[in-house]
Amino acid sequence: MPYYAVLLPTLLGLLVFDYYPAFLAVYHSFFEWDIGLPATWVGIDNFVRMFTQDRTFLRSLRNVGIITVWIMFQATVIPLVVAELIFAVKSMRWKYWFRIGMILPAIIPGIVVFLLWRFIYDGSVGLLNAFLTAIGLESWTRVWLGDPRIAIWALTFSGFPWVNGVNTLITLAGLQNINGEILESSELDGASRLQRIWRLDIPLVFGQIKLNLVRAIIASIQIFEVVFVMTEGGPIKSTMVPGLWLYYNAFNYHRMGYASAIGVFIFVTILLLTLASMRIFREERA
Amino acid sequence: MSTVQAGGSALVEGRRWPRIVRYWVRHWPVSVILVLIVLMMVPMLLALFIAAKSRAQFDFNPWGLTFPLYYHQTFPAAWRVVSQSILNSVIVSTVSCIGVLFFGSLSAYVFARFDFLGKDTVFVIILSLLMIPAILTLVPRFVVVHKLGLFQTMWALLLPYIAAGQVMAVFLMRTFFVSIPSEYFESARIDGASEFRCFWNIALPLSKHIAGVVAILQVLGTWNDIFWPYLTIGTKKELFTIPVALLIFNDQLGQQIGTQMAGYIIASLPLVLLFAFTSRLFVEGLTAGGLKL
Repeated sequence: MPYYAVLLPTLLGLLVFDYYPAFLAVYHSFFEWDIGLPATWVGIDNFVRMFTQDRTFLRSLRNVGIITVWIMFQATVIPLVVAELIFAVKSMRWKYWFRIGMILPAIIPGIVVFLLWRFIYDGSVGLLNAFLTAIGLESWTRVWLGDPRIAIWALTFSGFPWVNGVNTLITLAGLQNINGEILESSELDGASRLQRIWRLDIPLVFGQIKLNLVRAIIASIQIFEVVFVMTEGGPIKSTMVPGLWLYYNAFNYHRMGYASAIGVFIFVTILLLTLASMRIFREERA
Repeated sequence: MSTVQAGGSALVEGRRWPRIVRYWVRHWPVSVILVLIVLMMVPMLLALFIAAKSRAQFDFNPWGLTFPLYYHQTFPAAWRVVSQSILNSVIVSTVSCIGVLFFGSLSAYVFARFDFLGKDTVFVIILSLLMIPAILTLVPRFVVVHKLGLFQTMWALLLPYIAAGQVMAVFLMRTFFVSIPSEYFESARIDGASEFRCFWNIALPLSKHIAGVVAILQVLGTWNDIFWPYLTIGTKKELFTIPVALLIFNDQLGQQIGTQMAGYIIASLPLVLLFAFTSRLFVEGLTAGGLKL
């Protein structure tokens, strides 16, 4: 079959580097397997242990919950507001530059942004403390990422002003595709701007908002790079997230089976949340 | 922007406010967005300011712009540390991008133009990978790479990047190829063109835009990837990509903060340059309106 010959490189690559690893992850999640030792079948013990004995894992669930709720908001509501603002600008020239301005921060490498924020939160030379001192709130200053009670919040709310440029442009695209006559007639009917946004814009750009929402769920449940760079999960594991806990189990403690089980848990959670949000929001729309 | 409106609100607001203030209040969406964009750029501006500082200047005034500027010291020092990793990142991003475009477009073409046994099944199986989170496969993929003897080689980055990037490429490009009228290909075939020439001389040139989007996604993804190179390159300094170099460099150069910031800026520049040439394509790709669920 000549067709399969052409597809072969694609299929072979995916087989070796994606399907086989995915299969291995699921397979190993039912084993206790420490690197260098033979693996033993333990059934669902890894999953049971996660929820009954592993306090760090439970802590990481709470943390990822906080982060996910915030990112879902940040990925949908804020882009909608900013997109409406850009949409309200009449001048085409401003609009053009605003779209560029939205994207520009998004192409700064993530690692640079994370390291800069680690620096902004720094206890001794950080910008945040300097700013608080300057406006007379010296008592609020602290070692933001060093305080176990505060660190997860500091981490979650890094990235001020929380404008996701890509999501904003996706939403803006939806707004621009709305038939102008509909908007005009709503204006003639005396609808206020807020009424128009609530009754017309939001239902009409719902496809875009939903895309942003699903992307946010997928990204935030498996989040771990930002945590690794900013706090390494500390102090005293207070900012641990499941993705990073998986990594530590695999590469620091060499518990490959347990790490795989965490991976399967993350995968299933993403799947369920995605399906659930697609279903809930489809009904709400109707 | 109309002058009629300008006169009207000037009456309402009286003459107490200077003209410039009235302008920005009247065009408040513009003002708000401008403020937001400036705030979004604050971390980068900070990096730019701090990169100009000597150690003493930083201790004295860590946040403002201080003179004289020491860019001529911090940038060369940073460049010496990150230049190799910039080169590595450029190689990895470019080669994996070419690989994804080449194999991805060929496969997409086959899926778009031909019928064969099991075609739909294979296509769905490929697309199903979009649902599998990278974190699930991180550890076992590492094991596979290790067993294949690719650990601490550039292939450990290139091969998985090319494999994974093709999923999106096949999806986007197939959709595009399907939309090309089949008459184009038929008349070329009648003139004696081979199927490969149809692909190379007709389909590819027409798909420049979508190929551009695929390329940008691939470059952004590989350039920014932190963990996979961190794992697979390990301690082999001469193969560090830029995120790994920054991570390590950050811990080593903690004291020389100006140099550290200069390193951040150097790491961002290649993407900013790429964006300068492709911003139109990228912004249009995002705002064309096709993206929704």
